[in-house]
Amino acid sequence: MYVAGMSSWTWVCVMGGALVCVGVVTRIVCRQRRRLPVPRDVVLVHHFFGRGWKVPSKSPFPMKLETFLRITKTPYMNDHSGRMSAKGKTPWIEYNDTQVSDSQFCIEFLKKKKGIDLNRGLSEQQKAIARAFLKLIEENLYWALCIELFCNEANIPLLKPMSPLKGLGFWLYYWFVKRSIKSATWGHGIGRHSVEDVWTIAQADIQALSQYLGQKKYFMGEEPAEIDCTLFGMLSFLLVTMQGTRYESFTKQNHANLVTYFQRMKSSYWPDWDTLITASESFQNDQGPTHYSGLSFILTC
Amino acid sequence: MDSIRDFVKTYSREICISAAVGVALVTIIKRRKKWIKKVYPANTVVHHQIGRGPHTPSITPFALKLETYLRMAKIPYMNEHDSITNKSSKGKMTWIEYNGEEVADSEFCIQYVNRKFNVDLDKDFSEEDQAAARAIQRMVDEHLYWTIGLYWFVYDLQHGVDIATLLNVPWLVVRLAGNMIKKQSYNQGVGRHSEAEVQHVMEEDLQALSKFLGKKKFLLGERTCSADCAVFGMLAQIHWHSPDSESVKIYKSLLVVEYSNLGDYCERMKEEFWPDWDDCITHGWTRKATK
Repeated sequence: MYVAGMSSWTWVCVMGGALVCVGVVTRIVCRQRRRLPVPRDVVLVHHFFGRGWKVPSKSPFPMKLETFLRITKTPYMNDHSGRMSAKGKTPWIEYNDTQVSDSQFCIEFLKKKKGIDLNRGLSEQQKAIARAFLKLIEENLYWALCIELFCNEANIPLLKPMSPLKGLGFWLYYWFVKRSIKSATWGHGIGRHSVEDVWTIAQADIQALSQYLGQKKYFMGEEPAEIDCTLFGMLSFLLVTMQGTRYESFTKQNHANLVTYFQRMKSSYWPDWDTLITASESFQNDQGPTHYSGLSFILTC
Repeated sequence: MDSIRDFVKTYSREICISAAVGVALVTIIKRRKKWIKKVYPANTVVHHQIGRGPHTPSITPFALKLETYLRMAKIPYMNEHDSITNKSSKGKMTWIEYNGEEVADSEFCIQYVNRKFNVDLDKDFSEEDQAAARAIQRMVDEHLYWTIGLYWFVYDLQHGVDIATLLNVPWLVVRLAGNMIKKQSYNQGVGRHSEAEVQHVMEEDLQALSKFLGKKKFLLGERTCSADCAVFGMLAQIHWHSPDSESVKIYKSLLVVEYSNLGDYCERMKEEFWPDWDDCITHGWTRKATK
């Protein structure tokens, strides 16, 4: 069929190309419009997901990074517009016109720039143990939690209230996220196991964390170290985002020291937790204002 | 385009028949291994792996980890070097069979063997030590592994290192493996970093291993634990393999600087659990391994 001298397929390609161009231009313009003015020497933390329903971030990695900034009292502000880094990773930071992505690289960058080191009180062997646990948490346990939350259909009723989309939108969102997790974890290796086998792996990891923590105030001893930021971020995911799952109840029933530790970290470094979760009546959008040390007052820039 | 369309139209019946015969042949060949099941000795763990390596008993760290564990725990076992064509149900190339039961994944195999043979190499260590050892095993298997894989199959190729000769596989297989590792490591996360960043995280992992080991004979002291198998399986790949690989150059330069305890540890594990090492390698593909 020909319309205005062009075949229907040509029209489809032209309209498709036009839509893509409009989308790209809109995205560029919106990004420019949303660019926050950041004072010098203030870290701008880019969050992809924005604030969560019951936890300040749905992902453990922004929680880790923000907890580090709070423990070290580093001035920072948040950008919840959803811009991704050049590596396709989130969270990422901007500091005095330098961009850094990957939460661990962000922390190492800030350590050098600000001359801060939460691990200075640790022995060489303790630093090595902390690094090993960092990898256990981020490279293994994290994926087990994702598989349980998104690939175990028993948890669909828990996902619905915290999903940004409802009805058919939720099912499309769920299908897309489940597919992404399955693809990522298949490449990783852990996704080749059944959900039940992954449950076995996760129990061993949670047990190891609990055994090493023991009755200590922080993971490595009496003072917080970098690993506490990572562990707290992951426990926020496990105990709050995954509330109602068997993973959460297993941790509460068998490894209560992790729950007590989580509560301790939360009250020490996130006293404003309730103002940063969308389920709370006292929620305040903190896009823009500068946080100093996570105290309850916020300075506007 | 038109000639292809005409060809398909003219020979459509022949094409369909050929396709159906091809699918049937592939299905029969794949299922043949299930119909003609080999009979193995009872009460003996059959360790399926890809075959002996040029300078270590296996070029996959997980097979070396598992076989070292079987030796450490004195489990009766035999090797079947067939897992390139006979993979596990999970698509993994390191798996075991025991009295007809199949188990895949080195960690699950170790747990299975522990249950079946009532073995627990870690029981006499404190809970804190056991937890630390598990963290070390996770770091090595889930992170260090990817950095070495990226070097062998992606960066070394870019630097012109002849990995195909090292692994004794066709150049095309190395290319395909490289694409697969790139994709898998991108999904996993490490593959999103630049080469310099991968080198940095690899060095940090090796530093952590060295500092954790310190002056100890094995990871947790005078006796070995199950995590020693994981660490040995991984370090062996860069301790003994091709000096041309960038990953090996990085490792060897770190040994000289201050991490020589890792090299000593590898030699110690080899001496303790692999007295027949020379019979289990192909000496650079110059001869067949006898064990």
